[in-house]
Amino acid sequence: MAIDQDRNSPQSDFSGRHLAIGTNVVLSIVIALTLVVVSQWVSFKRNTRVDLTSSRLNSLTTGTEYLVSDLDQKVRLASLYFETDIEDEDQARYRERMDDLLSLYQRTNPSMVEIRSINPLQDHAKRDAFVDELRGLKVFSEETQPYEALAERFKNELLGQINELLQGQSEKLAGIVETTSDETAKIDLGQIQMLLEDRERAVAFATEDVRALVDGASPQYGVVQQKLVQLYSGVVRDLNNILSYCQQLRVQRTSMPEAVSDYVNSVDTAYRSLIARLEGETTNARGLGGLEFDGLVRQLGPMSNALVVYTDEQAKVVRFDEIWPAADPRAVEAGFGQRIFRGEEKVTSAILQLTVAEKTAVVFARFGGQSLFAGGRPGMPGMGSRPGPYAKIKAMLEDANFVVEEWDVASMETPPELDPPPVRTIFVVLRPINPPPGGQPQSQGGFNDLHRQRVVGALGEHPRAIFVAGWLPGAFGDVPEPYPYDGYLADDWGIHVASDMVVLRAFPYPGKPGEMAIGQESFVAGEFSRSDHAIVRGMVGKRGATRLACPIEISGSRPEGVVVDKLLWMNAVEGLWGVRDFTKYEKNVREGKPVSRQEGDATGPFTVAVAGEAGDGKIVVVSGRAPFSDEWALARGGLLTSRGITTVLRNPGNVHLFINSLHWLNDRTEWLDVGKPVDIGTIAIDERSGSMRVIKAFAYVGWPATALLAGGVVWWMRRR
Amino acid sequence: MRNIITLTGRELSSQFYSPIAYIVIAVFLVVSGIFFATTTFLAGGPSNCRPLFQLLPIVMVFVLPMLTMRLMSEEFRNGTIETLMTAPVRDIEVIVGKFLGSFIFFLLMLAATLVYPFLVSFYGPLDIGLTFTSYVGLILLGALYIAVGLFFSTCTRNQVIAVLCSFVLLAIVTLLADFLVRQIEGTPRVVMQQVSLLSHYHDFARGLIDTNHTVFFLSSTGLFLFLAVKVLEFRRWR
Repeated sequence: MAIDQDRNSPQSDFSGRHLAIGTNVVLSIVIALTLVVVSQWVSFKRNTRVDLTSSRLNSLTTGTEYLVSDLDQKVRLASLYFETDIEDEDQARYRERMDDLLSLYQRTNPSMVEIRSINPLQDHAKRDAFVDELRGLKVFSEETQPYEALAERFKNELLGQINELLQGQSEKLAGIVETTSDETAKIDLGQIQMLLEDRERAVAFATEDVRALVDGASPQYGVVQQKLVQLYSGVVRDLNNILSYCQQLRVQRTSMPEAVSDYVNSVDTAYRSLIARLEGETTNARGLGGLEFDGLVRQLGPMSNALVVYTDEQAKVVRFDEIWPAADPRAVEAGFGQRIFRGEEKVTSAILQLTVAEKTAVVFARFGGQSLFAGGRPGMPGMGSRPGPYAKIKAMLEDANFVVEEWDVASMETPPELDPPPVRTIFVVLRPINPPPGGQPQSQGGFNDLHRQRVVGALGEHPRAIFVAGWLPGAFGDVPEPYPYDGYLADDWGIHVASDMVVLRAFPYPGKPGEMAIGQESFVAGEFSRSDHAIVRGMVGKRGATRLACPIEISGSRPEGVVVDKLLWMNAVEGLWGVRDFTKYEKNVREGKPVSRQEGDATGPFTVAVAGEAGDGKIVVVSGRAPFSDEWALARGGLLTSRGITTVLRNPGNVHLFINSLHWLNDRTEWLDVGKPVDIGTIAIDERSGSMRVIKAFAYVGWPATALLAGGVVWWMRRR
Repeated sequence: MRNIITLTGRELSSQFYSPIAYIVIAVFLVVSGIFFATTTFLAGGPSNCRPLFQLLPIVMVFVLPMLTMRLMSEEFRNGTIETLMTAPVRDIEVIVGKFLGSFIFFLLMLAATLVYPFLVSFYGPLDIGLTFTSYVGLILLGALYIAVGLFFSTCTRNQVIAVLCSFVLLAIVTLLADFLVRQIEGTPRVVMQQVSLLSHYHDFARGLIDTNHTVFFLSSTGLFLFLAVKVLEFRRWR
């Protein structure tokens, strides 16, 4: 009854309502919180991103995205870009750009890509732990094993044997010196004893060092190896010196006390076995060479700005100068504005090399001449060794995970054997150039059917090859040399290389409207139109150029099953001629007179690159003289920017065409266009100019004061 | 809806009546001007305002709580809340009206910073996309800051307590969380990234629009507004 009364009282009503409202509030808050957390979780798991930057700064290329999305093992990217309290502006920009890039990789495949940033200048513990983590990788732990064994043998066996010998011999000598009365013998043996004691001390010091290096937090087996080589060599040298000295004593001192004589005669037996053992161990230690891991760690200096890409098995360091090369290689100290960012290109390349074990070979088939990759002028005094004409292209292909080799068709019957064997071989068949008459004699003579058969035979039934087919003047400058693979291309692929014709671009004669002239640049073919073929689809805005090109024709009657697509061509415009006999123009050109197209010479359009497919075979034919050489594909030209003249690739389209052709031939269309240069505009103003001062004053004072003034006026008016 | 518009207009007018608002704008522009001149507008630097956009959230942590501290606290302190509560308006309309008033004021303040990208565009090719996404990020971040400030202003009649609570919470989820993100690795880092406002904002400042970040800001803003409504409801019944 009392309870009922209590319930019906106003106080009870109030409490009940309070409880109900409270419960309601708590419940609704819980529901709202749950909704928020769930919505955020769903959006985290299934998010969509759009890159709105004009330079597509936050987007990886399709090739990289495919590679990263398809990873079947964990890839870790560790940035060791340093940071200081008072920071250089450029350093902050380098680090920020790198962090951005790494986060793009992580977002592309969060479950397989892990990223981390370590400041090697301040996070010493993190850096040390990181180095230990790298040491534990399969490749390095396997590499370290023989070094560990070397150190173990020293600690467990050799150290004891060395000490036993040195101490035993030293004590023995001390006993003899003490008991003998022969003063000469005392001096002789005293010297040996001193040498043994000195060596004993040196061994003790070296042992301490070795123990510290092996048992420390970061074992340094490479240094241990060097220390042990030094130690063993020292012991062997001293023991050999004692042996020689005793040998001399045996010859010079005919009468020695018996104890001395016994000692001198016994050293051979006592020392020889240890000397042999130590010499063997020294040879063994030297044979180990340098530790790859030590080389890696050396690249992780506190201010090295290194990036480490690693998997569970191996690691690769991408150096700062690889990611940020100076636009002008001659520039000693290039700042942020004078460097090119090759981050994606290099990181993707490192991931490729670490995760894709199967490699494709690219074999450049040349005829005679000098090496394409190695130094071109060996042994020339004072000249050094110039890199070969395709040295940089080779490095670029290796970055794209190809194995690159060259094959001199003139001297080798078959392509070089590669170990391990590649999954596929793509041939780059360069146009054979015969030695000039009267020039350096070629033991093999000129290019002939035999050489052609070697190449065609190596290509096999399902070739994968790029043919470089340019125009080549004849030995005497009149009749052009026919393209030696034209028969093969025509019969098997329905492609004809019109090597009797050079594509030439005449330009308007200055001051004489309607008349044309020919200059050196006329032999450069450029301004290509491109098809929608996968190889050239991404070539938009990339200038390509080749010289001494001849037209490529696609036959209407191709062998069955062969599909040939045009890649690049030059449209018919005024002055674009296909010249069959240049001697007809030569006189006028020499005298600087106008020229006009001769009868029989063709007008465009001219095709300069085609791609063919037949079953499992694929080829690309490109016209021009060495369009993929360093000199032509990687030629750089000056570009005026706000921070002075910088250099850029003059023919980026050539690199694109070459690399993409290789990916296409390798059936890796998803890797087409891997890597891209990111171009960000810069603020063009002089730091000390009047405009700069005005803008700063406006930002510091002018603009806030304007806002304050406007606010004051509004406030004053409203108050009135 | 009419009530919300009326309350928004009233709130906006009161902002413009108050001299503090102009001082806040001036302080905001002085600090952002210094950041612009020292970190962004540099000869040979990239022609975008990314450094400035990365620093503005830090300024906002200090500035926006000052704008929001008085939103409800002043009503409680002056006793005008009674008039408001007895008027034919719902709690949610009061909160949304107050929020929109401050938010529009914040947009005007932010609009004053448009002059910086405009200046950059005179001296280099401005990245319009990056500028656009940065402003989207700042607007979303500002909305969340205002919602947090409004929530604390609803909780207390003391403006100083309101501003301090807002500042502490925003500093934790903006500055401290971002610091922690840099210190930790693995799953805790992913979790902390989800908590850190700067981590969410960072992508906007890089030229990216990400649905995850957009949903995060919108839902968090909604949550704090909802909490403010509940607090107001609770106060009514206390």
